[in-house]
Amino acid sequence: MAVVTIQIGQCGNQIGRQLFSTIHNDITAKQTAVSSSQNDDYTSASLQRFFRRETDMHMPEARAVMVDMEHKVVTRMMSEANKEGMWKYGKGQQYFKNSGSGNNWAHGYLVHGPEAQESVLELVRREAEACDRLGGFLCLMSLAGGTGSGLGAFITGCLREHFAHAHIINQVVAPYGDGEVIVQDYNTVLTLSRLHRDSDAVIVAENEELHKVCATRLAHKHVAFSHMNSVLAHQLGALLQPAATCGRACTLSDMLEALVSHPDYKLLSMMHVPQVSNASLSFSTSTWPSLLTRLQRMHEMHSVADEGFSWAAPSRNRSVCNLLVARGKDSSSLDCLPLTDRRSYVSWMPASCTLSLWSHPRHYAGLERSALLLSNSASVASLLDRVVDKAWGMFSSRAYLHQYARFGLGEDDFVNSFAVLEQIVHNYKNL
Amino acid sequence: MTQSIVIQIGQCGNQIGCRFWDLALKEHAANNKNRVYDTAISHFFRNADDNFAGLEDIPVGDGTGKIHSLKARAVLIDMEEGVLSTILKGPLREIFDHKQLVSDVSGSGNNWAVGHKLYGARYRDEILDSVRRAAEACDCLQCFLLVHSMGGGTGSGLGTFVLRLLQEEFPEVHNRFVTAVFPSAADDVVTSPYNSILALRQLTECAEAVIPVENQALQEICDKISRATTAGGEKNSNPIKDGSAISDNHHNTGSKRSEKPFDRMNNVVANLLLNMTSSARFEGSLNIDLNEIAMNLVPFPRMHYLIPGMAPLYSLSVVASQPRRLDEMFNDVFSRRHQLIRADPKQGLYLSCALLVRGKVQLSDIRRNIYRLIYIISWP
Repeated sequence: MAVVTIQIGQCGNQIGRQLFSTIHNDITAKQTAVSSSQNDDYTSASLQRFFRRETDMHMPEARAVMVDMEHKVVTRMMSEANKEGMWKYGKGQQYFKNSGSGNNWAHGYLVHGPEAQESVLELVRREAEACDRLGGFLCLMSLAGGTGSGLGAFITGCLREHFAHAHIINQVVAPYGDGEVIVQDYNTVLTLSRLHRDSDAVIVAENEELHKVCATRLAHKHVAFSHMNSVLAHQLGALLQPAATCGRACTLSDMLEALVSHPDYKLLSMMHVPQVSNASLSFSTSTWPSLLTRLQRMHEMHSVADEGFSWAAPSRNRSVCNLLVARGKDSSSLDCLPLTDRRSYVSWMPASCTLSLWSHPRHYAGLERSALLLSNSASVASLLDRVVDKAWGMFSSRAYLHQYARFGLGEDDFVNSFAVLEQIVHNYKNL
Repeated sequence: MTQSIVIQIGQCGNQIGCRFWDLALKEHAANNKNRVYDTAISHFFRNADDNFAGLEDIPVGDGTGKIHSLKARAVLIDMEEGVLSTILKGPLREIFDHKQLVSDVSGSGNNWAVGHKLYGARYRDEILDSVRRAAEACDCLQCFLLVHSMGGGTGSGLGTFVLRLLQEEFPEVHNRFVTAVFPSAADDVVTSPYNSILALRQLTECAEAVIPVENQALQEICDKISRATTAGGEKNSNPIKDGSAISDNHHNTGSKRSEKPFDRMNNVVANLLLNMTSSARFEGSLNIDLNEIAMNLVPFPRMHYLIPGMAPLYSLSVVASQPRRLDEMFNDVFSRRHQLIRADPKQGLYLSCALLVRGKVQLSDIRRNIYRLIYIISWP
């Protein structure tokens, strides 16, 4: 199974580069504590999934398409990959223009989208045809900017149209609550309303949460975007690397089957333990019960960081369903008791479908035991509520609308998007 | 890879423009040791090959070609000969060619109507020609940066005429940023109130964003810097680092003879323009270019007057402990004394605010300061 990654905008491209580096480092890791045949199976499956080796046996090329409206970030990511010297981006798999989108969703969606459609679809087609078995598409983008959000939403729509049976998963990054970009709330509302329709699953990561992880658990004195990107790439790698469930290998369709059973509930959140800095790695050990209890606590407290909970959290976090990916010794015979409490799942979900377990005995990224929880639960509701509130506040005073109207996005489009998002928030709050 | 065209009109505009090109060259020289013509420098300069008679431009290519002869992407307009001829005799003559200049002899006599109606009609085609020539040399033109004063005749009259012309003839380049120098209370031009009001209407209708600057505020900033330079007389234990003040000329010889009266104040404005476009030219972890500035700061089309503030004004030779200086810098940039016009935003309501941070500042420092400052400012 192969996954084609489409990196859109500055955020998407930076995360994508980190993701491929993390995966490649994991593949070439020495301390894996499994037999060499198992290791070979794992590494070849993982290489097959994310890289192709047509031209050069020692320098795999990432199965990726890089899209951006200005060239600076794409060229920098390619040169960083070349500098590392372990893998590289395929030649010609980049699409960039000169002008940028100016943080304007309408510019990305209505102007750059149609312009870029042919070329980007051609690049994606090329990657898809190079795969033996296409597992699905992973789109990396941000919600605040113009290219990532606008062009990203458009490209997702195109993919849905042209690859009607493929699985499309979007990893989106929500900006800091108090602002990176002033119109971020508008961009978020407009993007999510489109993705809800076109994508199969949307994994939402928040900059604030990632920042908390870096500042508290990983003890970085000065948190920079590169630290946060590597945390996110670490989590995505833990999710997408080969794993097995009930004896057979896991694919993206298994993930979607496990998590997105109802079309109204597509927003997922990711939590990963243990969160240790590289310095403390050799001093930390963990057992499965402790990891699972931590995950369960983080899940209850709606927190991606394994620390700093506000114990005055409102109510029990209700989930539609959850997916647990465990990597390390004895992971297949895991006792998932902490996470299977019937009260924290919705009543209309049969008990056997609430929690799925994937596992692999190989160590991931040097961690003896690690667990990732991908959950379809009400924790996204608070983020969306905040965003919709702020966006509606701006909309009611008609602020910035002329900037969007300039590219053809009228008030009706806004009202429709607000309606979609209100419905999503309502659904999740009433779980 | 975007480009901007700078259009300088009138005596004030051309003098500021002069300082701007000087500082831009010095900035790029400091960043570009190998003398390659890369995308950063192509934002404001084109690489002309002197061997061709028609001065054909050499494109950036892969960004490693050598610089042959830099020409500024600029149009210089003045209805009097004095300032333009000084520029053409000075050290900057190499970067302008005569086709970029539009001039007359008699001047506008501090009369907006003469600038706008009389000279506008007379020089319309010539100005349009020069701008079109500059625009054709650009791969991807992103914005027009106009610089002029509001109190005079040419700057305000002809300047706003050019603004309207750009709106009509280049509608797809909707980024028209105007750096307008407003007259202070103690101004020497009698008709400056009339000129300013007439020009203000044009700015409200045609510009994308206006950055007002005021002579009085600039003078106060320069005074503050020179007080810091001469504080304590001979025994200044912590003098300012040479060339770090935003009003410095960056002359290597350190000679003050060549410094003209308004140079220090014009340097401040030139630094403002350079810093605003720096993210469009150089790369960073969160890029923002002029499109985004306009998009985020202008909530309603007619409310596009942006108050600029800069910090720090200078840096000391012995740099004290970093975090406090950094936090001080964030505080300063919101303070009344660092604004380039005499206004106190904290007394009013902030509609929107953008912080462009340049240099070795970590994301966590910015976040920490934003958390703090949100409570000091009043938002709607």
